[in-house]
Amino acid sequence: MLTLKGALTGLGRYVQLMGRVHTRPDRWRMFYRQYVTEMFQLGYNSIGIVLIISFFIGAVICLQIKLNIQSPWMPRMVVGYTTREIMLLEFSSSIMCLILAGKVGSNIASELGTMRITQQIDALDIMGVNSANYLILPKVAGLMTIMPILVTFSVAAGIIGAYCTSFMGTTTVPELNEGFRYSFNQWFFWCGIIKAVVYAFIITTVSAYKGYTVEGGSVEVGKASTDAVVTSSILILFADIFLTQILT
Amino acid sequence: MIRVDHLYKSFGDKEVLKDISAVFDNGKVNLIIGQSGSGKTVLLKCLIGLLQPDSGEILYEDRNILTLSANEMKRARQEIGVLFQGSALFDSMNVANNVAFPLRMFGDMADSEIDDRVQFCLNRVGLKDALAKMPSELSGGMQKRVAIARAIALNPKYLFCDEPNSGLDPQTSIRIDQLIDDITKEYNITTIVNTHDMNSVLGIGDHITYLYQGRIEWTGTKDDILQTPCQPLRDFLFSSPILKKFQQ
Repeated sequence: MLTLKGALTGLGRYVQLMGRVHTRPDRWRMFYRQYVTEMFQLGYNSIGIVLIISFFIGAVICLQIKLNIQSPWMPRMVVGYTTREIMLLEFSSSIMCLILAGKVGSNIASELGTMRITQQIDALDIMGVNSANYLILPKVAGLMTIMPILVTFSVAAGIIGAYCTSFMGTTTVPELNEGFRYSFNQWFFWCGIIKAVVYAFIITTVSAYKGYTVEGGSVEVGKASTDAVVTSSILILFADIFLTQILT
Repeated sequence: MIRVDHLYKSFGDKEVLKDISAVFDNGKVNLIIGQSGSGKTVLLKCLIGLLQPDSGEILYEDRNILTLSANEMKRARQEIGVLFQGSALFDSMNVANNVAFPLRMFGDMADSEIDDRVQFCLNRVGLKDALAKMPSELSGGMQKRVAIARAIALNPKYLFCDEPNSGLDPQTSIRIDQLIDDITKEYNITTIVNTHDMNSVLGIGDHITYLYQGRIEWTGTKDDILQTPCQPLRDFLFSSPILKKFQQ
């Protein structure tokens, strides 16, 4: 009962905070400046990890399909086909966002939590600035803008990773080419993009809520950071089920 | 001038402020002193609108800030400068951007005018060479001075300082006190300082309010405080070994 009450209270506070976040910025010039900074900090700085993970996962998926699924009874292009579908439909959108929830989510929660306990948020409020809007909206807009680009990079890196396995002799480039092109449905790419935008919203708003509402000291900031990652990961997984059902 | 009438504030069953009535004049440094837990910080937070009192009135000139609409309160906040205990400088911005922040957010000044104003404010606090430094590169006293520069950037009518000397050595404390006193007299602003530093009390206390267990126990000036018959205040004052020697 207490847990349910706590969850409902948390949901109510989250909705209230989102009401303050999604208002017209006090100064558009300041908003754009923050928006660009956040795109750089949250998105551009994540490109490296996205490319590395996607490259290796693409290669491993290709190898696994080749070693465990392919048989003389199956067409040889099945390796490329399956790798493409996995990358497009799940890995580059959902799993990559789960990974980014760890990196970006903890970053946002700890940044805002530290600002809260060092009274920087109070200072903004005292000046008459809508601190929730000033601090959180550029993060939400920034990550929602950059996430589709990260997903596109992830798919591309996964495909390149799969091509690289051809150097190991497990499959050939023409076979992979045939698989990658076979029965391509463009909508699946857009499904990944839509999912990524929704997950970006979940990651930023949940992590911002956890950080912005911190009370206490450094221990609480650490806890908020962990909570942000756990909660946004669970919500991403829930959302994945519904979005997959709705979109495909 | 700020007037407080019959102010009450409780947290649960604990009554923190009990029937507080006081007048804080402009052009004077008004000190609020008292032991830890006496309600000083709660009173200051009520005065700057960070906490909502249970009952009573807070009048800035003739405006009751507790009944102002959100927009009116936002405008009123731009007349307030606050110096927080931990300085609360934005650690993602350098010194110049910290001071320029309220000007960019609320002023209609051109960039060159903002630069001039920043230069002026930093000159006023003796930090003209620290423009490009980050807050983490400054000492505690320098951070306090930058926070004062930021607080006066918009020419406030009211300046609130929460324990401005905490964590500073006695010499730096006296410099900060002197700066607060000079600025108060120079711009004829209403300054309210929350402190338990005896150097401040005897150095800049134009008007002193002593809080004891949530009530105003004594009011007076730095000239008559040492002769007070109020026993709790005498216990508070002469708990310091230096003043104890002076008393003997």
